[in-house]
Amino acid sequence: MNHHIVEKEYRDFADDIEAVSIHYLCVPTGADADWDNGRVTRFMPLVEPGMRRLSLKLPVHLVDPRSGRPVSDYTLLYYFEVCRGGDRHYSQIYTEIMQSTAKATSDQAAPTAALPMSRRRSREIR
Amino acid sequence: MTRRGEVAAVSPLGWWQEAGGARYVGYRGTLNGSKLRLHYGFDGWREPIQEVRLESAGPDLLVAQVPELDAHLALDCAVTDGERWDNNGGVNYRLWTGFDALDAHMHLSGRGAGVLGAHSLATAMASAGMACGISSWLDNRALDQVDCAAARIFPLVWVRPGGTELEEVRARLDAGAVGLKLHPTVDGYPADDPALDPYIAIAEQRGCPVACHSAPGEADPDHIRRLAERFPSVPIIMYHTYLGPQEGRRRAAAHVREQANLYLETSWCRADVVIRLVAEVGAEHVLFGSDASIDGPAHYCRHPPNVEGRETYNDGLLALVRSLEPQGARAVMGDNARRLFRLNDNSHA
Repeated sequence: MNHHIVEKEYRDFADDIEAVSIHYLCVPTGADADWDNGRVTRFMPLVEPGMRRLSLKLPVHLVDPRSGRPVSDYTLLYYFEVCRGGDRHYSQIYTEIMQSTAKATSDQAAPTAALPMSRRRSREIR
Repeated sequence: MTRRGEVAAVSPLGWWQEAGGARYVGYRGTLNGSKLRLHYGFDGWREPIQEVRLESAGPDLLVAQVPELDAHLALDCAVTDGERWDNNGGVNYRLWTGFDALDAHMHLSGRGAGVLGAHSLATAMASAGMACGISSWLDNRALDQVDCAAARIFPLVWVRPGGTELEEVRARLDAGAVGLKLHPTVDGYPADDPALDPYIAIAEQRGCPVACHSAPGEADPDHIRRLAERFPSVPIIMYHTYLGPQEGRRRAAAHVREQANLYLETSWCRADVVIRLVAEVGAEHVLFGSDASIDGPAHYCRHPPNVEGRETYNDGLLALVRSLEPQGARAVMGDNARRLFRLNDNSHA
């Protein structure tokens, strides 16, 4: 197996949510997050009224650009893009430490500082 | 007096023409009174900026005859009575003189007031003279709440292989959708995924095209070509002509030259790129699209420019149309989409 399956859920906070996408990035722990390279965007489908769920396929190993070696411990960063009333809203960015033999649970996920808007791509859907 | 063009449904300004007679600019906007004037310039507000009086031609209809229309590509304009302005929320109005423009790549999330909502899209369309457009949304149900005819949009069915019921696809096509939309990047599958085949088979049966996001990775033109080879009778439009480095655009164009049912759509391509693509694959295989109104009401004229940070759509379209023969310009700016999506018999086509 060359990937982890990590399930993410999003519970709609209103009835008029028009779409939810998750943006995520895997970076070696301690390395800088470069959202312009390696970011993955996935639509989160409704699996029941008000509940969206998606399974993310995450790598078991990443190559740490600082050492050039594969590492099994890395950080998953993700945030949600929510479209409501024709406007896009963004959640804070969450982080989880991923390990090849274990991973942090959703309860352990910790928010990190939100990216300034200028560092997010302004046109997420296309 | 009868309406000639399509613009009036999403714009208070449109072409009006008496049977066999002169062409006028018609106005049914929010301003009224006897002092209204059309404030205008040609082809991107080139000097001299001029004004002409709007005169009553019927209930809630004012018209103005603008001289020298046929010598220009587009009329850019606003309406004023000297004190108040109707300038389309600051983005002005445009009317193309030689064709009814169609945007082959739009998004509409619903009736909301935000940048992806119906009002934003209508404002953007009026600013660029877009008579109508092809639209899709991540969640098909969002468009159920929209009067697509009034919004001048033709919806696509967003397909997720394994996630979208085949019956839903058929039902939406029965209800007026004009094609299918694939987004392999956002939905996480390769564009040549065999799981797509039952959906493309429906498009084949219905004679409708498939619009597919093209970009590095899962939506690579190489994948899209393999899908097109499996269904040679289904037109497949590569949205964006590869949203990535020029190398991918060259490959996309090469595939179009070799695979007759592939087409290019031009959103986020600069005018000089589109001109080159037309030269490479022929005008009959290129469709103008913009991704409106991802950037809101000013999508086509935003500053700073949103097409590679160097060009607005409105400026780029003038350069594109100026560079093409009239027939080629009409093809790229709408006729190709009308042909592929079979819009000519539709009431709002």
